[in-house]
Amino acid sequence: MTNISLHWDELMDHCNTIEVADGSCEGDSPQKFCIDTIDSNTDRESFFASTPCWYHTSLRTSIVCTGGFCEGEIINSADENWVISTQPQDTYQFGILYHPMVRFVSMLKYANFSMIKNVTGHFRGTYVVGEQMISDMLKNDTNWYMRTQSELLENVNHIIHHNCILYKKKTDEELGDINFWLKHNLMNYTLYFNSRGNYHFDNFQDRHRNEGADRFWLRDWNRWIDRHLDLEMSAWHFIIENKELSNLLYERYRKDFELGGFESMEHTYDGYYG
Amino acid sequence: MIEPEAKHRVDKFALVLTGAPRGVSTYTWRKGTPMTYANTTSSNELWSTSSHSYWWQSDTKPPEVHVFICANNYDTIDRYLRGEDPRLSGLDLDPYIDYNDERKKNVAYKILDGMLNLRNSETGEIIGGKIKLNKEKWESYHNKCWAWADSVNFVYYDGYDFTQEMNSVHTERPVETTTWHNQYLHYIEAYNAHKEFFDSLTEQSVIVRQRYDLVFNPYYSLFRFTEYLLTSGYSNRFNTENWNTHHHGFSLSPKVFVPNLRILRGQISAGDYWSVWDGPGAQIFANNYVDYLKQNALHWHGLGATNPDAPYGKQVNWRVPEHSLPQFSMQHNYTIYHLDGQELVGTQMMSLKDPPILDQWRYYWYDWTEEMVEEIRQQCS
Repeated sequence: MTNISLHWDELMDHCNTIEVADGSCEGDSPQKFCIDTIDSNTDRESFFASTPCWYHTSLRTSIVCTGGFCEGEIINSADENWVISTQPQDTYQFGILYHPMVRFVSMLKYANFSMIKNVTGHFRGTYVVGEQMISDMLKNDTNWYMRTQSELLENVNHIIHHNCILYKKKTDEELGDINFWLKHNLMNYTLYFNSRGNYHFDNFQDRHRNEGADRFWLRDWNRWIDRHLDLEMSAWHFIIENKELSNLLYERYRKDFELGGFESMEHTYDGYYG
Repeated sequence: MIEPEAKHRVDKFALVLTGAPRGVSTYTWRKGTPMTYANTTSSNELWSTSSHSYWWQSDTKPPEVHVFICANNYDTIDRYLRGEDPRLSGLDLDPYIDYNDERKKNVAYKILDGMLNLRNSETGEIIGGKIKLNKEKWESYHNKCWAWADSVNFVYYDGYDFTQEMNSVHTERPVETTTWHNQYLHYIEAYNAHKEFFDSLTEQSVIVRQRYDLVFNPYYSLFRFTEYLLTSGYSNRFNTENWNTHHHGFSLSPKVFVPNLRILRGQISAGDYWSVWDGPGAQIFANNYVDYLKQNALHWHGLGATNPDAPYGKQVNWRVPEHSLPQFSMQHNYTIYHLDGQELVGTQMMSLKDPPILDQWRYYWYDWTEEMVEEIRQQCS
């Protein structure tokens, strides 16, 4: 069975036990798999369905994408050494295990309803949410975005539990040892891609590239760009307020709940992220 | 930053929510409407950087906010329910009516008519509805959402008698339901049910009538509307005596504030998703709007253009819902303020996004079942 780290220190300890190839990669540049291609790739559905992973160009490590991310994060990668790829890589693979609620709501934007594409055939996703729709999905939908994380992470070398992401950022000095770069990059990855944080201000700004005093570009809350969060938080509340839906979620993702030792979600969206 | 003049000028707020309850069940709506409007009277920790949230000193009493929640007693047929856009109809996202097939659309209308409308067996007129609003759920939800307001008032509307009355005035083309007029008729119903309150409102009051599927910029509050309505120029807003008096000596009231004001081929129009009045503006509208609808069949029907090829400089004979309120306001000599674009004032319509951010509202609030939709789908898709 794949190892799992429940806390950051465990993950750091684990890093000390593995050997990763430091330095530049040989052969084809992994840059060719860069997510830039996603913009010209009109078939996003098959792109995401093929289990992309984040691949580090200087450390032969990768992190399997299981959800909990949004497209803005993918396009504006935090660290230029992380590139996304749908090709299997000869790497040491990590995978992040999210609370099934987080994973479910974050994948809703790919829900394959017939209204998913607009007249030009571009990906739009589903932005109508309700109890019947959630219930139908949990009961009947077997599309790629409904896959369990247990299945997606089956072949990874090590699972990072969602709790690890909550870890407070350490300084480079505090981290320093021979696996510095592995730890450093894992930390950057997990902090950057974590979905926990104040919805509109602190970490939300990182997620949506609106970074306080040093912000890369400045923009206000934008219901168009940030609209998937509307879908996610509304679905979240329908589930926690309706026992039937909570039970359906538990039954559908029982393996994931058991794998991570997760409790049924009782926090509100803001309570959890804020 | 809101000017203190605007903040302290207001004596009362009335917020009247009208139309179909699209989006209301979502957390997005709760966050974008009741939770954001709560900035008006209290310091909201969530939006701690909002200029609207921090000025109430502990010894200052914020203005009263009274909320009027309007809804139809019974569900009625609208164009989205008839298949135009299932995302807005509040049922299944999968289309249940083939909208490109005229025959199927007609079959669907017959089925919907049987499901929704109670008809007089002799005259054939619609005299009532069949699919009820779940009032207990509706009221308990809104009481929770608006717990911070000074009062929450529920107003229920049936347009059946009114439709018959209007059909007897404009006999040339009878209509079956009040459709887009509900956004104004709900307000008039609220006025009539709480006449004493609305008649007590003054030039210093702010009455916001808005449709449900509207969310507000989280940094704002009801004072965002106040800025434009009560301190919008042609008067010395710092003068406590003359703040609402034009420098030629007349009062600026009645006033209305609208989004997206345009004059198109000689006809004034504006966004109809929200409108903001001062006390006199709200009272005159409530008392005279029905007469305005009766004045002219065009005011009631909302036709498309009947002479779209009219030469330049000649009148185009056309009418859309967006004409209704601004043309009424012109007729009654209102002062009309506007802001070009709704985003500037901080509001956004969830249903006008593509894709829209909406809910399955008919299932949630009205007694619809999935079996009923399936019945339509079997025959019409």
